[in-house]
Amino acid sequence: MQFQNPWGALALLLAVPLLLLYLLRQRHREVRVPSTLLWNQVLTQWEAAHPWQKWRRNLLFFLQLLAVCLLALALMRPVWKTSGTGQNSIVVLDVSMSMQAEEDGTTRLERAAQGVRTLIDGMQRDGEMSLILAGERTELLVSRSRDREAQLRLLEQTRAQNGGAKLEDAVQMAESLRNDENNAAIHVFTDRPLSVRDEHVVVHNVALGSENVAMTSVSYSRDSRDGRLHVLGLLHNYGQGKTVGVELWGDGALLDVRECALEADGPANVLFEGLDPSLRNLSLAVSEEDALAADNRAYCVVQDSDKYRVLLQTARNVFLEKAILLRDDIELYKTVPAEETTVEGQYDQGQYDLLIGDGWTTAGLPESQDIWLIAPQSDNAWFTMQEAGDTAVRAADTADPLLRHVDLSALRVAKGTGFAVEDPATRTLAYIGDEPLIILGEEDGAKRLAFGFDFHESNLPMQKDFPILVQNILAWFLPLKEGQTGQVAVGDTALISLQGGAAHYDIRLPDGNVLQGQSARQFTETQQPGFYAVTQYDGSGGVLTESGFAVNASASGESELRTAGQTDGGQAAQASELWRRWNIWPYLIIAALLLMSLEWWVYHRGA
Amino acid sequence: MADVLFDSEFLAQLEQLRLQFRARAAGQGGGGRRSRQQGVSAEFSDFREYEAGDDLRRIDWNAYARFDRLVMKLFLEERQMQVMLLIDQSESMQMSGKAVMAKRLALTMGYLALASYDQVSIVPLGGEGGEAFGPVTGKSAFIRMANYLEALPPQGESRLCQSVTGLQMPGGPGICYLFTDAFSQDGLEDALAYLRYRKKETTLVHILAPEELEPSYEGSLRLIDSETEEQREMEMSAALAKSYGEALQSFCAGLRENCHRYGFRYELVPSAMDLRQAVLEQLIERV
Repeated sequence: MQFQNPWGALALLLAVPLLLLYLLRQRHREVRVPSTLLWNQVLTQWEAAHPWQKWRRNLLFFLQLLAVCLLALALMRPVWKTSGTGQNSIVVLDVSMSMQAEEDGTTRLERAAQGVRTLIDGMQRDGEMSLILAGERTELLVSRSRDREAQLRLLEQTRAQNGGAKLEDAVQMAESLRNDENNAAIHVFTDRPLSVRDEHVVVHNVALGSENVAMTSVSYSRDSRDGRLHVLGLLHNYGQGKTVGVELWGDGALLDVRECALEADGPANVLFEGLDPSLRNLSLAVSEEDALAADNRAYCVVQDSDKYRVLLQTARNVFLEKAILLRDDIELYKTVPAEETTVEGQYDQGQYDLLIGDGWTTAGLPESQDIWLIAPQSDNAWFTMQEAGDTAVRAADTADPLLRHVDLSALRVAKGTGFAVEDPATRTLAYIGDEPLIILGEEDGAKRLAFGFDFHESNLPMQKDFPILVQNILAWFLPLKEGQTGQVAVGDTALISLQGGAAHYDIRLPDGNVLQGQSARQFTETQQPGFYAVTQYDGSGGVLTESGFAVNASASGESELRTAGQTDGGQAAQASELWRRWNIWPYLIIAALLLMSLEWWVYHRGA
Repeated sequence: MADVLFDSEFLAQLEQLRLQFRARAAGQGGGGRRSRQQGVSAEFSDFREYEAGDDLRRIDWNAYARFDRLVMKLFLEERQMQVMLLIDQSESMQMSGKAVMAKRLALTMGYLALASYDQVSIVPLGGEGGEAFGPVTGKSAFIRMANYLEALPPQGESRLCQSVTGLQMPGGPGICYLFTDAFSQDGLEDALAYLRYRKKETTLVHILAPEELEPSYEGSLRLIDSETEEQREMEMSAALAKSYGEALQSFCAGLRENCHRYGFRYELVPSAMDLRQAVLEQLIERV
């Protein structure tokens, strides 16, 4: 027997006032005797020999005391430990990548599913079952269902995923479900050693233990002379030393195979050099079969260029140039503006990711083009300019992401220009006096930013926060590109860098399905490992760009299949023992009430 | 009180009884009781050889003429005996008729002593003590003695040892009756030793109430001591009553043993006992 609420024992403190009341209310018949000389002698010896005799006749008191004890016991919510299947069950099924591991002819997931089936078969007729899938995301697949067939069908359809498992979250969800559901035992089917203190949780460890080789990542670099590709693969051997073959695949064709010697329990590298620079989709695969096939292959997509192209048109703005070049992924092009600089004819549409115009005189703004204007010389469709008399600058909202770690209070502008903007989508970053000094907005997917002063007419470049401000601005215009060039792990979010003017994009998944009409910059449907092709379209449906990214099935700890098997044996054997929450507190309450009735009866009989 | 204590039949019965004592008193005047000490009286006792210094008037000249030897005539000397009645008048004696029984017994024994021409005195014991009665002789003092006993007040706490050893009593042999319940704060042994020292042949008349002999209490009780007001709580049970009975037996046996050690008598008299039975069977029959 165990107690679910040990604090209920505090109710035993009720016995203290009961005892006090009893002692205070104990009524003695007063008898006047000639002398207590002899009685003193007798009672002293008697009490020493029979210390509990004075309580013997106090039946009422003992009945009350017993009732209090039963009440306290009931509050402690005792439960009995029994063997067998509980009436209701909550099953947490690990569907992480390692559950795909095949051992002794069956996968771990199949063994887990068999365990769940046994559980379902052994459940009582009115027993309810909930099924929680623990993958990268925790999913409640079945909620308090009594439909055995539906449960089995859904179980049959369950597949192991290619990511990790947030098992603790799933167990937490199961425990919160159990709070709403009496008599429910939680069964966790996993291949990971899991220690849970809750007695109601039974961990069924289905791992048998296997060796495994994983291709953890693949990356490439371009030869600076001829642009040819060098591909580097990183392997990890979770087992004894061996030699494996590593296959290089490019755009769907097997290009090369290398032997790679692996040390026991350690990483290894494999390098393929001088590949065709036009290759786009590269993957490396371990040719030998092992327990887990899902981590034997890694993918990467060769990008056209790793860098953003930024055009800076300025006569003399060294400060800004230096601050921009702090970012590695920017290729900066610089031109000196002509006397009457116009946008048209300066560059091709889509040639640059960002235009920075310092001291432009232009009436029109390029469409579908991110642009940053500094001290513009004339009005345009976006704003009209007006002289500002003040010199002090104040931030509109210091919590604005563009002003993160930037303090504008010390900024002074000798000659500033305020903007008048009617576009409601435009917001003000800083004011000079009451006039907007720095404004920003977005139109048709193109970002715009305008500074109403020449940097040389202010102390801004002297501010220690100046490089930070520039970096914040660049981060807003040009997000970091890891979503496109890096390898995203299964379940992670890929960032899609939309070209200026891109209205939507399609994504072709590794299984060939195409998700059309996507517009979110964050793409989360990355459950399949492999190549994802992204095609961006402009508003008229024309193809703007084609790019791609790779998703790799690698999750921390999922390739290590040996440790999982080390502690599971005993645990699996113990898995049949369950806590069945047989609540006996109602019976205790009834017993306490009966005792109180008996006490009442004795009281009246005594009276 | 005399009317209540005695009826004419009981008095007539008493008249015929003679107190008999193992102790022979050495009183100052003539009395109705024979002494073991030979002396001057009309009743002949024995002869002995003359010794220098003897009273010449007691030489038996007839014997001298017959045997040519000087022989002294010896006579039993009859003397008055001192009878001392010590009555425990403490608060504990005032309950359950113990004091009444003690007074009645004292009056009876006093009457018998007066009827034998003995000298009777009564001393109340307990608390600060009270005014003693006597010594008196002759039946004519009976009424005064009865009145005295009737008016005798309670005397607070029982400290028998202190009360007895503080008594100014005439020296020489005598008879003493000690009427008490023996629930004394300072014990009784020293008191008995003192009486032995004063050559009083003592009878300890141990008077106990029925509830002291066989308590009939039940349930939760708070016992209150009548003398000290001390309280004691207890839960009465058959087993406890049995323990009390054993303790009482042991207590009485201890008193009896102490009395026998000094050659005294010990008589246990329940306060509810018939007076006539108590006097005839307990105090006189065994003399």
